[in-house]
Amino acid sequence: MAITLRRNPLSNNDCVMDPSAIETQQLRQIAQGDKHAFAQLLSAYLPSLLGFIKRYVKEPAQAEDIAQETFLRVWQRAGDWQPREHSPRSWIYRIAYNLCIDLIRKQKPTTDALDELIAPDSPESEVIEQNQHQHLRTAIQSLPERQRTALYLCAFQGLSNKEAASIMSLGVDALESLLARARRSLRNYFASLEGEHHESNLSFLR
Amino acid sequence: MSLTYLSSAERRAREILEAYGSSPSCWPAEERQTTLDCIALSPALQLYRAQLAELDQRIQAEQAATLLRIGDAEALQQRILAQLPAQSGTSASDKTRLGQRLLRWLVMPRFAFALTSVAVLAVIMMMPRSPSIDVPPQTTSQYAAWSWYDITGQDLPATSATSTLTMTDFIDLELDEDGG
Repeated sequence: MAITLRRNPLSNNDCVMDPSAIETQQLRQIAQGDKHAFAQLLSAYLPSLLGFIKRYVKEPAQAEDIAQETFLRVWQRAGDWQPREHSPRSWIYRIAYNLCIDLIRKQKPTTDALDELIAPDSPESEVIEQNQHQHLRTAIQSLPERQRTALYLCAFQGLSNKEAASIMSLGVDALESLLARARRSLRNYFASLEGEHHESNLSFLR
Repeated sequence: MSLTYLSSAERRAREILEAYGSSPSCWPAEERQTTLDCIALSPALQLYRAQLAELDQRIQAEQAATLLRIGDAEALQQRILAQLPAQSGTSASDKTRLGQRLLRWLVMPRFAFALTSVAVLAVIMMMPRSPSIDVPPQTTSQYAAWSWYDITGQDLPATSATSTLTMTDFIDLELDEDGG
């Protein structure tokens, strides 16, 4: 059974149906073996989920394997999804997160996999911009794993606090504490970076 | 900004800013408006929010760049769809699901308590009921029930009104039992 999104006739963009309700419906259809619903869910989630996985997994091929395994489990276990425990989004992210953590435990820690995606022969303006991204990634990479994951889920993937807490098996208070500490560390990192930059400029003028 | 002079609403607004950053779209939806109202009334919170905005801009820029680099993942999407296995048999999966649900139901404390209570009640109901030997019968009807059970091993039939039984009936019965 195909899923049709009812759209507001007054707007080309506003979807009348709640996205979570659509995903709930899609998961129920997937549980019945509906490949069309699966393809829609896959299309909606794959890019952002792949971005999330690539923050943990260095090898692009491995990241793709984890993404594939995540969706394979979605396909096979959609009937086991408990709406009371997880939203569709947090359930899918939880599968991916657990697979990433399993892999990380088997391997030794690596640098942020996204670092390797930077093209070496980019124009100067892009290099400056990439350096800024690089600083952020370095700072995030230095955070403890739980703080990093909380930040990835809430700030980068746009999940709600409840969804992120459910993925990490935490209470919302604990999640907020992790987020606050992560953000404080990042602000301190950039403040010290600017301090160093300021110092180097002063030494150049002397 | 000293926490000492903050009201509880201001304190919560500050916590939200610390955890979720300066962008209202990242704040918990149910607290968004309250937080905005609170910040609107507090110059200190406005200043704090402005200080946090720089980090959020960095995060947003990095997020956009990441998605751009990853692209639409079309090839992987096609690969996943092409290699999608047939879903496992529904009967087996249903059995597993049923087993999991039963287990979940059993481990839930309130149901476990209810189940234990029912089991205890069932055991009590199934135990042979006899008048307590610790407390001797005080009335004729209690004596009748006690004696009838003692002799016959059964409850006193409802049709047998104790008023129609005399002490002699029981003595006769006891004599029969003793082979007298």
